[in-house]
Amino acid sequence: MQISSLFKRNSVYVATILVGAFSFQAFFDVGVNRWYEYHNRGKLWKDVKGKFLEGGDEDEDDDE
Amino acid sequence: MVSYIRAPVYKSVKSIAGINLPVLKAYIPNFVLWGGAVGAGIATFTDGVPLFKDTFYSKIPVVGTHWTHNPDPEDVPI
Repeated sequence: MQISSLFKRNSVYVATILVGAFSFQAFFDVGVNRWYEYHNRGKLWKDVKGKFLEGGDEDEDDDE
Repeated sequence: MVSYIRAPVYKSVKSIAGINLPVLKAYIPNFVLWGGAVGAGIATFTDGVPLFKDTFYSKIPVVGTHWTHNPDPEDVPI
């Protein structure tokens, strides 16, 4: 398949742009999120939440 | 015996406003492609509509999570 075949018909061209826009945002978002969460694993709020929330009041008293 | 005719006998295809069956048939691939383009356009421009998000887009495999938002109720500020 040649890239130039995308430009020969306007309908194919327009469809390519729209499909590209729709799928790119989803793939980009999910991809970047996965990378970010892998890169920062162990440091994210969802990972450390248990540490802060399980003690509740006791932890706060210790800090103060 | 040879039978002569006066003039060529032309037949015209039935058409409405210049559109007839052979023309329509020739246009079918174009219509199909434009249909696909319109579908893609609808998908693109209804991307943020909750009804479309919940009914279709969040069910796409692999990337469906782009359209879902399920925070832990504990983490939602009141």
